[in-house]
Amino acid sequence: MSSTAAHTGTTARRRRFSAAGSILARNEPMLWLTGGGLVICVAMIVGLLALVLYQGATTFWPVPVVQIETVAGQIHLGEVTRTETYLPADTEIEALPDAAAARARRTLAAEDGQAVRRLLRTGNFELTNEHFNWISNLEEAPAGETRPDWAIVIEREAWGRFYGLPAAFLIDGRTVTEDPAEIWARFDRHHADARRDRVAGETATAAEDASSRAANAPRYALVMNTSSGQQQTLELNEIVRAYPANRLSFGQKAGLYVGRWFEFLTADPREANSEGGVFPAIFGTVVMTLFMALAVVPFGVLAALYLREYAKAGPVVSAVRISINNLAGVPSIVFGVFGLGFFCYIVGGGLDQLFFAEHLPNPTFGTGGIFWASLTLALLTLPVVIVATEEALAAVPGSMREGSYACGASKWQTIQRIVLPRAMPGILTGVILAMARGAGEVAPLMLVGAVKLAPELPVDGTFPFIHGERSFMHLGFHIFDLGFQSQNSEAAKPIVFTTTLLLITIVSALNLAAIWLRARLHRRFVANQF
Amino acid sequence: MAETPDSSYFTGRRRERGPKRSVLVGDRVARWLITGGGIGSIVAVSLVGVFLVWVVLPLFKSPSMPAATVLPHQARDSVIRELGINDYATLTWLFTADGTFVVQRLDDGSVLQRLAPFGARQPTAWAFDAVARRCSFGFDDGSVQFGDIRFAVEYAEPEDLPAEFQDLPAGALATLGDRLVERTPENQFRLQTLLLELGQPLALADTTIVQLDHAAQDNGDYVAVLSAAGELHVARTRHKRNLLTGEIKTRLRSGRFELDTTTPPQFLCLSGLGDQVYLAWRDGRLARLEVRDLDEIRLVETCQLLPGADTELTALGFQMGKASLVAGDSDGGIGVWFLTRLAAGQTADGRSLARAHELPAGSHAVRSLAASARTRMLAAGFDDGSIALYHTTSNRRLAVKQIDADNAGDAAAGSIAKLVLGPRDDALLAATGNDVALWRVDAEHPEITASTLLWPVWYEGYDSKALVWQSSGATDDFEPKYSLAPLIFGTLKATLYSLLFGLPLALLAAIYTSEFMHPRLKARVKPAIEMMASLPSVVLGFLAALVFAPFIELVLPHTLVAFVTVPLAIIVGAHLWQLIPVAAATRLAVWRLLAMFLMLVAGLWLAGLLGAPVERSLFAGDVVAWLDGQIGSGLGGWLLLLVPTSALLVFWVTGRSVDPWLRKNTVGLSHTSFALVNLGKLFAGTLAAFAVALLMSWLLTSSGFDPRGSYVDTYVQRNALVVGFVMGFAIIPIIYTISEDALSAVPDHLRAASLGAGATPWQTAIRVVIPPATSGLFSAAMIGLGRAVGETMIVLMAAGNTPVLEWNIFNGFRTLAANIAVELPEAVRDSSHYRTLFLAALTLFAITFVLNTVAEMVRIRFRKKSVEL
Repeated sequence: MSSTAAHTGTTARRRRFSAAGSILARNEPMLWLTGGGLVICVAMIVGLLALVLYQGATTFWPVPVVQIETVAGQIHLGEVTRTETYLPADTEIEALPDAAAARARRTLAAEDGQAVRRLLRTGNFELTNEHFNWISNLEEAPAGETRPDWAIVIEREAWGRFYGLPAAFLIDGRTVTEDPAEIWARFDRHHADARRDRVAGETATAAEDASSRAANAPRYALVMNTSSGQQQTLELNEIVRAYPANRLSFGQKAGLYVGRWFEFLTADPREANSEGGVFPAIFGTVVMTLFMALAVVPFGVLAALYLREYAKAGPVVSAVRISINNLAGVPSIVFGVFGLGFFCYIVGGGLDQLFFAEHLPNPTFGTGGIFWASLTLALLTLPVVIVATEEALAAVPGSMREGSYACGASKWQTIQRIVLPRAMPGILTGVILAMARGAGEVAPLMLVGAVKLAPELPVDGTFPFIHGERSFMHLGFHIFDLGFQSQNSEAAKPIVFTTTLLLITIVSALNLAAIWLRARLHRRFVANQF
Repeated sequence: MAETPDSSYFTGRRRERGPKRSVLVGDRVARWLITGGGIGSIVAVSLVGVFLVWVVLPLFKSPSMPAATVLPHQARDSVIRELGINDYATLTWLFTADGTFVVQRLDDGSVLQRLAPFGARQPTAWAFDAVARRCSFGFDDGSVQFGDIRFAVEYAEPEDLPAEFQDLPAGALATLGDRLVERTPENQFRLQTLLLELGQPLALADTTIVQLDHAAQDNGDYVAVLSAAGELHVARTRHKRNLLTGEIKTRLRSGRFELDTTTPPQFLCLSGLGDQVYLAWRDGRLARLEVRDLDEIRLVETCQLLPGADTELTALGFQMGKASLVAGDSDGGIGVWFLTRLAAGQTADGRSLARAHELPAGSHAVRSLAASARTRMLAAGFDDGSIALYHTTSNRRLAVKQIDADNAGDAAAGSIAKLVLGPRDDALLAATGNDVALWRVDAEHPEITASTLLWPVWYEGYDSKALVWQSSGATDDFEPKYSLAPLIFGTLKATLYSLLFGLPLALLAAIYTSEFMHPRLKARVKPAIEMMASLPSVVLGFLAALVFAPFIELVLPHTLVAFVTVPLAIIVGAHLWQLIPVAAATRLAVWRLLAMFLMLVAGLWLAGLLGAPVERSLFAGDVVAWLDGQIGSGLGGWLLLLVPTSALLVFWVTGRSVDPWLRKNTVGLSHTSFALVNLGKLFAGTLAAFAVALLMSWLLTSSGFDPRGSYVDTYVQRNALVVGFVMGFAIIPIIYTISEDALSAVPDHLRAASLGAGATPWQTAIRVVIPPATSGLFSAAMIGLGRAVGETMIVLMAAGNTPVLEWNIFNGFRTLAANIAVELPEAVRDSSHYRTLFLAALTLFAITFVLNTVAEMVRIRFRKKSVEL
């Protein structure tokens, strides 16, 4: 490629140039464009995962509580959830007091007309009718931002969060103390008891008389001052968690973080799913995926065995193979439509007519349920399993079969003892891939039984233990519902991100397991080739 | 195994044992089980398509009407004026010329009730409203009387009825006094009787009422009457409750209008909202009066209902909802008219009647019309005793029937004077003279035809034919609009914009991965991109709707600029890279990808930097308002749109003319200096591209073209741009994997030969590797297309779901898949809506199946070809 090197050849014609030819022939710009495509793809996936990871992992970390005083004299207490720049309207500035308006105009002139506003989660919905407040930097009073030492964040069973300063601690309606530190100590001491009592009170059956309820009546209460000067009494048993956000050490923050994750993974949702945990959704997803695997594995393996080992190879079998391959590409919603029309309405409706006629016209099996959802997804993933199993069967060397036959084994003995064990990792890979697809699929579930809030788990301790007709919660549907149909979507956002993180983790773990298995399978066959 | 000498055995010894019986049995059972189960599961999967077809087919079943049963006309000796039918098509009431109501069973014709509510004072005009179950009567003294007429239904337990009813089979009818008893499949007894409650007479006109129509509203009745004196009176009832006695007093508030015509109109119709009165004459003239304000009734429009001069208007009625007029003429033609804004300004209220539908004509004069109480079905009775059933939305005739002459007696002779459709559209009752004939109607989905699904239809209230999907409405008389066209359009739009973004990226990435990348790095990058395929689409949809859509709205100018700056930055990076001497570049090749990444970041940074200035200079400072068409000129938009085109143009021109010239005239230049020349060429080329784009946009703008209004228009937060971007995550991995496999499948000896002959890696890739792999790349694109067509969650969450027909990239859409997800849970089983959604699913199924089959065929061919190489 060097342009100056003399040609040693005997040809008379010397190459006339090479720098231009070489550079143009290498066509680095086009090559970079192809590379750019790759870089963009990789950046997209990495960026998306990083976004979900960051948002999902940080939402449970406690943030400081700030108190902001506006020029209008209002005081807001809460957590900053978002900051953005915006173009303020003239009316907004005119609404400010004169001095502040002049200052705002100066700031705007310096900042190219842009102002910064922060979304403050102020909570206290029962007092203010608002969960969030936008506060612009234009309306903040000078030095109006403080971090009150004893600001307390309270997560409750109802009404969303509460932000305030402790005023008093009540036992049986009498004020015990008014000192913040003392109140906090008392709170720590009694909170666990109060929560236990609440749980006891909830489980107390109707048969137990009113006196036992009275005994369980809330004894402890916390009186809080809000930033706007109102006072609110909160009963301790209604409080899920409370913490003085600005006084936490790193260890306490970490403890809180872990505690929230624990609650998220193990508790039921509250506050229209926007707080609390997603345990029923995890449970529903896992149970549905397992049912699906139970349904899809035998049939998928049978079909693959038939196609690979028993059917006579020919145009019919290859046509069937192409069709099965194609079915893997049919949109999932189509399977959902089939599931609703066939499983729910026809099979389920038929079952209702036969066995649950006394409940009609209320459907038992004739509507969406976890059985039908599992069967629908089984049908959806059947092609995946068939294709994977076929590949695994085909990868078993013919020499092994021949050896087996030569030893006098029958066809089934060969399949059972030689082929299937060898193909097992491949089949498992297919099953895991199918489970990953099933766990992440939402569109068909919307039609065949996933709901936003299921009162009962599909598997529980009451006979017959497995309730296939019950509708269920699903992580993917939970994301859809919270992100798309929640009325307080701002408050639900953190939990959507954590749910997303959880779902991606589950699906990725299943996929990685499949990749790992495939690699193992590959090694084994490369190493054990006859 | 015959008993022969040992020599016949190969080993020389007789084999001692055969296979164990259990092994043979096991083998047989396994064969049987696997064959059965295997075929069974394959059949089960293919059942999906079959089942969808099975559900969809009834949509296109032609309606059927078995032959009529004619009721014996015992106990009726006067002509039938009006008739009604109950919900179950088992009972009818007949209002006869002698002023009595006769209730008859429809199975054996026996008379259950006979009511004579009027006595000696017979009504001179009457109107019945089958939907509201109200009726009104006008009398010769000018008064009107309103009433309720309906079949009262009550249910009784078996033990409450006399003994002879106990063993009544389900579905059978029996008479108990004046009530009809029917045993339902739920084992209850249904008792029905006619309830006729008349209010007090209210004085309205001064002379005999000759024509009357009324409309029932929640807050009272509207009535329009025509008196013998040629005066039109329009009135509303007001109910007043006396606080002391609790008695409800009804008052009329009325207005009048003098008709300045010598011939009295033949037909009087009052619209369902009570705001329009239509008067029609036998010669087809129609006058429309606006009666919203009773004190100021005004004539707003006159028109001609009939197409020909020598035809006569023989029937006039309403469709359900009393908004569309149906006019039947003496030639058998039937037209449907309703108010549109077509000829605004020509009439006093800016609206005018338009003949929206022309139903297939009958052979004789139309004598009577009947509208369905729940659909746009319409029945017409003709002079020759035939009837026809129509559906106006689909503009088709469902059936034509003649009263069967054999069992009709003298009924066959007469024309059909009155008709009524069963409340459930399952029966049609026609009166000829004083005979009654009953048809069972089996028309489940009359509104669906191939043409209503795909071609424009003129829906009630629309100004022209339109493609609309709107499956439910606020009111009961809503006309469902099932056009799949906007949904198919939405699907195409989603597919197109996502492929526009995803396909080039995926193909470029695949080419780089297979041809220019170190194998060890490839082993890491490929699974990473494949991981993208496993991202649940609900996650992508959520991020699209709640993260990307608001973000892109915030940085829209920057995003648009990035489409120019990012490729530019990467190309500049390439030219800078060329500056490095060849030997060093080869050593640094590992870092090339990192350099590309840095240039991507640089491009994005540049976009961030240029976003605001570009918005100021090209889009008058506010791109959203600019898109809306409020401010600025089209110049900026054209410029941004045309930059890629003109860049391609400049690129092509340089390749054809400048490069050969450069080759010739830079002989002897060192590598670095030629690279510098090349960089200068890029700089000049970029400037030229912008100049060309500017020139073209100036030309286009000054000749009056504005980019806004077609592919670029009003900005909506959830739009095709966002969907295209996020759908990229779903389709890139598939296209990437398959096309990378296809490229890698090209045998290595081809590459080796090409490189050995002195071609550069780029030349090898573009001239040796890609041509044989083209079919593989094509099948990758097909499969990506299939995935984009069926993707549900992303479009459901991020596309806004408005079924509009607009290519505008900044507007939303609704796809077939998202539509199914939104509407199927609410669709009533086996309704037209339900089956149409199944049809949408079947369409998706067919599209993807065909796409995948094509892709598979191409891929098989490619595999064969690559083996031959």
